[in-house]
Amino acid sequence: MISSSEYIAVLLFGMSFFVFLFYLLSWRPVILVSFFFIIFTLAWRMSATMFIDLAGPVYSSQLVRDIGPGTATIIHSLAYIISLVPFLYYFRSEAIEEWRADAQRNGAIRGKRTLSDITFLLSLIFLSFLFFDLVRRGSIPLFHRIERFNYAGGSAHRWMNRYENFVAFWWGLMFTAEYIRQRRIDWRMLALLFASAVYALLTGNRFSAFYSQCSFFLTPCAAIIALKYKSSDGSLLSWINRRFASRVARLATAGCLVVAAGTISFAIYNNLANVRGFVGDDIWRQAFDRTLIQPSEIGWTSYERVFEANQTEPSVAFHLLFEDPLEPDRNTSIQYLMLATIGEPRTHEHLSRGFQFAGGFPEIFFELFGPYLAWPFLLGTGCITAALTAYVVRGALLGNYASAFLSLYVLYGFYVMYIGGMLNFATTRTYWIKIALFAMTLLIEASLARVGLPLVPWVIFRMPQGGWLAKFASSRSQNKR
Amino acid sequence: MKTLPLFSKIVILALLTLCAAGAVWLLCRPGPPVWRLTTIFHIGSIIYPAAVIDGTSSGKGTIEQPRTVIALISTPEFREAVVGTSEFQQRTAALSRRLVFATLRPHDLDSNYEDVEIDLAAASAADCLAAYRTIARQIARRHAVLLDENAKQLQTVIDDYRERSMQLKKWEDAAIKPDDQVSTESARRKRDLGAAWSESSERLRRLEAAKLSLEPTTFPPESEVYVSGPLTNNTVRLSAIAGLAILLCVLVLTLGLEVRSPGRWAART
Repeated sequence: MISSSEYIAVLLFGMSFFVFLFYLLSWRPVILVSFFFIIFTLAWRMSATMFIDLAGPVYSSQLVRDIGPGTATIIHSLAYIISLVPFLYYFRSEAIEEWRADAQRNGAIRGKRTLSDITFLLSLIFLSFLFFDLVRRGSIPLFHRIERFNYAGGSAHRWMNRYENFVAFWWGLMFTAEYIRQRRIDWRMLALLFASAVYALLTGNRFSAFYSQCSFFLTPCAAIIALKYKSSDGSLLSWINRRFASRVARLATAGCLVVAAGTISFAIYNNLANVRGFVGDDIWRQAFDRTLIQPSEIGWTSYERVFEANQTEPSVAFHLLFEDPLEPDRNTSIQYLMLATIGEPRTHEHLSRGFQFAGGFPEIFFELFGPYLAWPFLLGTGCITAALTAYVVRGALLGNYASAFLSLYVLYGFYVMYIGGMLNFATTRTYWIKIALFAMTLLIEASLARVGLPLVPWVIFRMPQGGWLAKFASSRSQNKR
Repeated sequence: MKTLPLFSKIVILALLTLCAAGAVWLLCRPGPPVWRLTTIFHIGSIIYPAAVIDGTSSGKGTIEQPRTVIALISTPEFREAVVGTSEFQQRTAALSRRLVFATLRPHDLDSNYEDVEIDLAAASAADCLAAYRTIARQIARRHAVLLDENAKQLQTVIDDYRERSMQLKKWEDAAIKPDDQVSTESARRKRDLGAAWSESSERLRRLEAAKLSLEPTTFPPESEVYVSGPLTNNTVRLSAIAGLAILLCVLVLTLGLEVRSPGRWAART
């Protein structure tokens, strides 16, 4: 039960976060696009927390109890804003101006094969094999009602499942490079992304695969916005209005959005109704729970423990996160939060089936550092994340593809932290190897830049002047004419 | 906004932060402290005589299904009755009535189909326990009636089978006479009576054993009931203020960097 003044406070703080996001969308779009993967999650979770706070008590089927009402929104809204504020500094206009001035715009001349050509060729071969393998195996999850995590597939499928985000990022990076260097839209990369989305649909994925692939593709595209959009052009919305002035462009954009929404809705419905066997109202109940309760249920119960009942045990949290976790090879934060919420037997039962609850950020900071000391840590984490994101955008603009890719590789640990609260990513040796590699790459790129050389060249090789390959290439160009 | 210099933007953000801090301070005033009680009670067992007689199952069931009990506790009438009859402390009675009515929640436990969890909040630990006593009394009284009815029903069946068994025994004894000539008809009759008596005795034995499984609904003693408190929203308020202070520090730091930036000084001069 919350008082009317607390109700107003929840509304004010919840809405202030969305106003902040609207500001980012309108005036600082580079931040929004480059960090879209996390910002979308934060916005979704904010909506769920507000719903629990304002509409509670609501029943959580996973926790088998009622949750809400409360004032968790105030804390979460502040935590999200504090995490995003450092981006305003790292993506300040002066910094973007500087990157823009140094942007690598020298394209390839005819007869040269570029990094994006090689990427397209290799990706095409890989995707062809992926589809071939899917058809060859005979059981397509979408048509045979198989759950996505029950479909084993071949080694190519498993590799794609594991690295699809990085692959989508690289395609996005090549799309951006083509746009910046050749001043053209590289439809090949969009086609690869589309093919990958179709594969995700066929292998029983619902929403998250499309969302993560598109977000990772979009991340380096922030460099295009940094290049094309200037704050003096007015808000992004008016800039988009001008850019998409023609009716055809608007219709095409709206059509794409409708198709994407329709496909995702179909995938979710198919999974709930045909794969999991829910019928009638249960389908909507499941979709509703997944949308408005499950993203924030763990966060809300943690808020209840830390802020309402003052039951913080930082030493216990530290012990279970880093010293003696239930399953040290996985995200220990959510394990601890589940343990504290639903008890040990049920947590073990879920984990043994490979299932874990959603959420973890920012609640794990409050569990680990208490309700007051968590704030500076949230800010510090936001600073590191913003700096790494800036390296991604800068790398894409300057043509430093190695550092752009490796900075995302390092940033990925923080992404996992924002999505699932994972903190033990920093305790693994491989993560520090990634950091060392990233630092080395930055140093080498800086040294090579002084003599005008890139670490990863844009032009890979020149087509030979004589021989059958050149004849083939020239005959193709004559045919085109 | 786009025409404003960075200095002004930072000052505006700092003022907004201060406004937010003011909003938290005023809107999230710590209310009176609240205590919260959580406990699990066990629904007693009854016996279904027909199932025991059939021998298809143990015939044991709960006095009421947990979902029925949950539905009962969730009704406004039940909450009204609890609030109306609980002996709250005079000082905190008004708030406790409001809190108990709004926060009394029963939960189904998926691990155990005979237990129900309840939690409620009140203005003092004593009020939590007072509400708990009332809930326990109300449910125990309701279940005692149902259990009593079931016990009577079971006893009637037991008495019936006992009488039937005695009667069969008498008939069986009467069928065995020393001077009786052995005939096929009498042997068959004796065998049928024996089988009927044996079956009846077996059912009687099962019913009497099942009778021992009857148990009333039990609530844990008050010493074992978990009452946590005092709970207050002051931690939220103080933590939010701390968060806003961090935000303000960042803005002041940025302002300092902006003012001290040599490039900017050079540009200005």
